[in-house]
Amino acid sequence: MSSVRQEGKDKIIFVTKEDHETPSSAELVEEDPNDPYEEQGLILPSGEINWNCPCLGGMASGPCGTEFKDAFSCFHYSKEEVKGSDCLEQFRTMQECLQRYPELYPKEDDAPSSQASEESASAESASAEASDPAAGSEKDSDPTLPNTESSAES
Amino acid sequence: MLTCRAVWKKLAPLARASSTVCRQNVRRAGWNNARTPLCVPVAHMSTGPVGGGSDNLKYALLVGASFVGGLTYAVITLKGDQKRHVERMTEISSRKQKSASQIQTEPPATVMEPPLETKLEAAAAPDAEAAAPSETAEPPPVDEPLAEASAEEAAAPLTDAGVEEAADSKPSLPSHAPYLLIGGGTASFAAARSIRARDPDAKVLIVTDEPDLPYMRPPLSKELWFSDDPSVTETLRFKQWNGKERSIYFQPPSFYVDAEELSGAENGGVAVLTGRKVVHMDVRGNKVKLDDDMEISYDKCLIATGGVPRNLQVIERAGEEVMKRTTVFRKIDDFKSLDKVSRNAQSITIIGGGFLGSELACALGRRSTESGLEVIQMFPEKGNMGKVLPEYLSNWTTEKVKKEGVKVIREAVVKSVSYKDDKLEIKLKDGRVVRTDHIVAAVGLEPNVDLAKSAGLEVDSDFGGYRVNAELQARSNIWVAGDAACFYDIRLGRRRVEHHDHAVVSGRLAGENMTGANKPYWHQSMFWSDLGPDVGYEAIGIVDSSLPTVGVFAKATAKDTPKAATEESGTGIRSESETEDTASSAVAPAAPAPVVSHRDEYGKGVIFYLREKVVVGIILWNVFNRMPIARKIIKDGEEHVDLNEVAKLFNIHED
Repeated sequence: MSSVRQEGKDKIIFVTKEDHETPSSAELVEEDPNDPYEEQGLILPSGEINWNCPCLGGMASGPCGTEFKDAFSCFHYSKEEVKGSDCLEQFRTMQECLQRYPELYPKEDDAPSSQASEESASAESASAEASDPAAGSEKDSDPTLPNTESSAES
Repeated sequence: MLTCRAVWKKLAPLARASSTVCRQNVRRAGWNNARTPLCVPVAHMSTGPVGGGSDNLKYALLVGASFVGGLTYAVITLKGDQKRHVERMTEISSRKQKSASQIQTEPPATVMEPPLETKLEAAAAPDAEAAAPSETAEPPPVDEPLAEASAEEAAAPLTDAGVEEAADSKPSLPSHAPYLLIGGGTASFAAARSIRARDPDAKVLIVTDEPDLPYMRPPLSKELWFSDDPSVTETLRFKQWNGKERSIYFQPPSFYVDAEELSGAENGGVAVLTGRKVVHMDVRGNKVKLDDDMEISYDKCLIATGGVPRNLQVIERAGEEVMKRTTVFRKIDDFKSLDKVSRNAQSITIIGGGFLGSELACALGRRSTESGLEVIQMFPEKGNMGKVLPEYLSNWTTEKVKKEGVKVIREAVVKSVSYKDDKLEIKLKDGRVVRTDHIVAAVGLEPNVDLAKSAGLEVDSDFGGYRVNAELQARSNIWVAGDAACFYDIRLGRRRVEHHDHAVVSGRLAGENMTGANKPYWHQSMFWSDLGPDVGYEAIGIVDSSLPTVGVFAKATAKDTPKAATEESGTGIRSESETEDTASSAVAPAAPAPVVSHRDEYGKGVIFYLREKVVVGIILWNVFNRMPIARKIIKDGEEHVDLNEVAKLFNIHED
């Protein structure tokens, strides 16, 4: 059973697990997925890529930012059957750039290009679930990234 | 015109003199005329006209001569001035031609030009002064030749520079930055990243008076102290709870572009000028001046100057011996020096019971178990975090701090500090005396608004800092973010926040708005604190102990500690999981934890802070990874009848 205590202006309630088992009657305001003020996920409602998404970890802002944006944009808008197959040149350029900064982009076991296409695929599927507000608003819908070591951000 | 006035002024005394002489003569003549008829009518009759005539002639000659003399002088001066004016104009136009040709040959401006510009300005100044009216004739001609000489000197090096330019074409520090960020801390870095993400090939210049590249502050009072590495003060790397190591620097030096190469960088970049302070801001001219007289113009500017730690007045007045043994804590150097002190001193006293003071006390307290160091913490409140936590929780926290090996002195107001017998003696107002070797003052932050005067920016009188609107804008091309920004929060009202996550959120928002986003402060920032490995909390919104609170608690298990939380989610610093998703998909397996019963009642729970029945702040007490729910509740701003029902949303009994 929950117990309530008042210490001056402060109220203290102790609850057991059972007390909190019943669903909450608190009402929350409905979320608007297109709210321009809100933090956006990786893909904006317009379909464009949100380069400022914290999930990208700063890849778009570092020394290889331009190369990364080119490669990822090409992939995103690719209409080929094998998505991104027309973007090999951009990915190669990006990889060359990444290799120039080993401190920032430590070498992973998987090739960055295939990893990038992997998570791009998952990002695409995440954006496809646009009707589900959770996927849109939660930043951690796309946790996998090239060089996901937390020390390597750019 | 001025010369005419000068001439007139010179003539005026002469004119006056001559006129008074005339008048006096007239009067004298009049008196003579008046008197003499009484005394010697005959004499008067005889002398009057004759004497008057000769006198008058003399005076007439005198006046005439002085008039002619004055006129000739006037003509000479005017002619001379005209000649000099013409000379100066030709000089200036020839200078303009030289500098124009220079600009054409060498797009990046040279360092030599600014000092030359100042020289030229100095040369121009005496000219102006000379033109201004002056009483004597001598100084202006003397000044002008000097000014001319220096101008010629300046012109000569300019041509030399021109020759050099063509020969070397050496890149140098930029005199223009499309995006200029003043201050090199967290907010500035977040803005730089945001700008680079949104404006392709953006060129961002950060100017900081610290010698270091941008770094994060929270580890300076937490993780760095818990490191096993003896060289931690040099490497500044720390191991996060999940074993992953990282540096406190946001990025290694290779991330940044050299300042000299910024203008020419094809894809832009972020450059950092360390050890320079911006001392003057010219808002109309869109440029700033550094402490080495270098000028940099900008298109968009961010002020993220943070603040300077406050010190107690009694300490500042106590003399050099006391000041030598006092540390205020904010920067990397402060961490290094306090680390050194903690290894050598026998007793350290921390004054201040807020976030920084309590964290440092716990960090040093941990060390005290190994080294026998005495750690004392004193503050005027009744308990640690007395201004943040409700009283019952503040008391509970104080007991925890004591368990970390800290001697806590509550309700302590410092009356005086003196240096006696090789020790610092702290006298409190209630008579207690504390003897210690070193003092750490953690008594708040003074926001840095040095540029407000020269830039004409408003400073907030209630919260301090630059006053900005909801979009963090101060004036047309100027934004402010981080500790120094007093901004309008649409939900919670005008405030100023001194936390790490706020610096990241506001810096990022400022960067977005500098690239045309026009978004207000909307995503509520959070903050957190860890007091030892067993007590940790995350908070959001306005968390002020003077507000009425409702706390909903459950019993804590061993699983509900900050350590366990980070191990399970595989994230590093908890702020990272909020603002930057850098977690890998691999997660350390969570070991099954036995249920540990605590004597304490407030193991874990949620505390709501209310303002007129609306929740404006929430603390998640030993409950983690639920910040999005808390954020939502604050955003909604609804009046909830039963906060226990709201607390259910957090599932506090589960992990």
